[in-house]
Amino acid sequence: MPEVVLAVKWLLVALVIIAAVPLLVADYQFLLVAFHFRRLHYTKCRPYFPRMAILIPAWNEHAVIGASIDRLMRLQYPRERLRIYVVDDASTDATPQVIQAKAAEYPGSVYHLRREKGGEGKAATLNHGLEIILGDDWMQAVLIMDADVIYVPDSLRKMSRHLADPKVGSVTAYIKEGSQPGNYMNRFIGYEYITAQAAARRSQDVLGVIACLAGGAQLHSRENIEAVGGRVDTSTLAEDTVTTFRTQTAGRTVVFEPHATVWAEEPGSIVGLWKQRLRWARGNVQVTKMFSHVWFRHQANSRLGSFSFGLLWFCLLLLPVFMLTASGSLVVLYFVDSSLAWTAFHALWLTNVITYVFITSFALLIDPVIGRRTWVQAVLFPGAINVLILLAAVIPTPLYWLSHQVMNAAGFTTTSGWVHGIELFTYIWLAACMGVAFLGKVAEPRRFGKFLSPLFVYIGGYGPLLCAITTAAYVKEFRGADQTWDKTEKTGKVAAPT
Amino acid sequence: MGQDRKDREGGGAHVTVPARGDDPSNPPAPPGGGIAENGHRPQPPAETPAYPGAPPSAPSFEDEIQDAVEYERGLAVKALLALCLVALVLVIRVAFFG
Repeated sequence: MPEVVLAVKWLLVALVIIAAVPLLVADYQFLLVAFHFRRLHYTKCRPYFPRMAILIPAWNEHAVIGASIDRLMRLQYPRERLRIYVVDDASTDATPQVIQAKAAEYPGSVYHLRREKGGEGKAATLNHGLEIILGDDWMQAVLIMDADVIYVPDSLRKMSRHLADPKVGSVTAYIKEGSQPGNYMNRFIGYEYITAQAAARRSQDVLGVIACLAGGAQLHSRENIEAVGGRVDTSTLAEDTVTTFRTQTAGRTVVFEPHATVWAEEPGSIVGLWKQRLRWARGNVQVTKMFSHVWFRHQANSRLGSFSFGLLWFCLLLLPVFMLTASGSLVVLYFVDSSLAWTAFHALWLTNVITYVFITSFALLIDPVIGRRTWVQAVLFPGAINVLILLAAVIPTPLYWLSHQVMNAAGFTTTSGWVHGIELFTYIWLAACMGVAFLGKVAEPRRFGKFLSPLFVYIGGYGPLLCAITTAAYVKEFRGADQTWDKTEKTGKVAAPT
Repeated sequence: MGQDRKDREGGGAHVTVPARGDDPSNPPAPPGGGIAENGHRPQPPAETPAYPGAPPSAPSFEDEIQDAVEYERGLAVKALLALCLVALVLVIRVAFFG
């Protein structure tokens, strides 16, 4: 019997320690960024201006599409080599009229492709446009973008220069959150994009494999788009990731160009974020299943099967599982052997401190302009209580002293019961923070929601909120829930900083 | 054949890479930097406009690439700074709080 208890104890400790793996993998990913300068593709670049078809799927985009077309016509790209095809997915607002006015303003450069029967999602809309564009041989490269994104004038040519290398099939850009003036949610996303785009895609570049072309900035050579079947996937919610994988399994390279900037309007509310990210997270679960033959297996043409890439992919996908398992294990361990639980927790949180300090400081330095706007959200990314726990892991004595003083001032005496209660709370919080962040979504549409929902996110954490969304995606996918394309609402509040 | 005497390999921004679809409006990068067969001293690399119609004051293609490379090199230094901060935190933890 004692052997069984001992085995259970060590199993629980192992489950806690395993939760440090995604943290270490995140550190590894950011360390790779430092080596990006050694793997740059610029030696194979040159000024290159293929005949470019810009494909824009549009459904009720009248607020943004006109200005988008105007900006595209001002790109630093030869006008005669640029055509804009707007696929109007049976819009019910003034979108067709706006596009037709722009087609008249820019004859031979802007084309209105109308779908009379819409509502089949972005992938079906893109396929309608791709079929027409591929129907003649004018197009040499196609840029797939969203209706609202803002391409900085030099961005497209900075992307297209990589296509001078025939081995390159696709190029993506650095998408930045550009809502003006923007709220707390936009700033969280702004910081998140430094980590998820500027850093993660650089590290993937170093590994020689890209997980996903940004949906709003996918540049493909004609050869590539034809090689992947001339259409994008309609069976999943992550058509951009599927295209990225297929490009690489076919032996073509995907390049991230960090100096091509594209500004995008991202959700300004938890409900909007939830809809968008649930789609992305479900899409990732579907891609994981679709490419099950690829993971951790040597691939002749690509590095998609490499151990490093698999580790990055699955650590992100399974992060909520790691958090829930570690929390549950710590709670059980607390009742079996509380001192062992404390030791395991301490080891996990010291790893957490290292990761938090390294990633936060490095991310803010990677893009200092965005960093200046989002540093508060960067610091509070894991949530205020988690930041307090991190502080307690680094400077325990002053914080214990402070908590004593606060308790005494409030008229409480610090007893061992209180200490054990706080200890147990911190173990539970590891998972409960996701629930608290989720409460922000529940509160948002209700009374006082405007005040309460940011509070829940700041306390629970934006990172835990994303984990909660991923958990919801598992559940939806497991239940086989309907796949609906919940379009992110755009209002045209995005602007490129001057 | 590129300026580095190899087909589409290595060599830097001046490597001549044939345009896809033999497009006449995508001329190869101007020559420069290679050693001429007649033994003349190599010419300094000519600056390539970053895009057709670029104003003379605009950075050349080579300047843009150089800037990008320098930025990426700078990230290695920034990573070191971030690691130094981590080390400082750990030192504080160990030295003052056991």
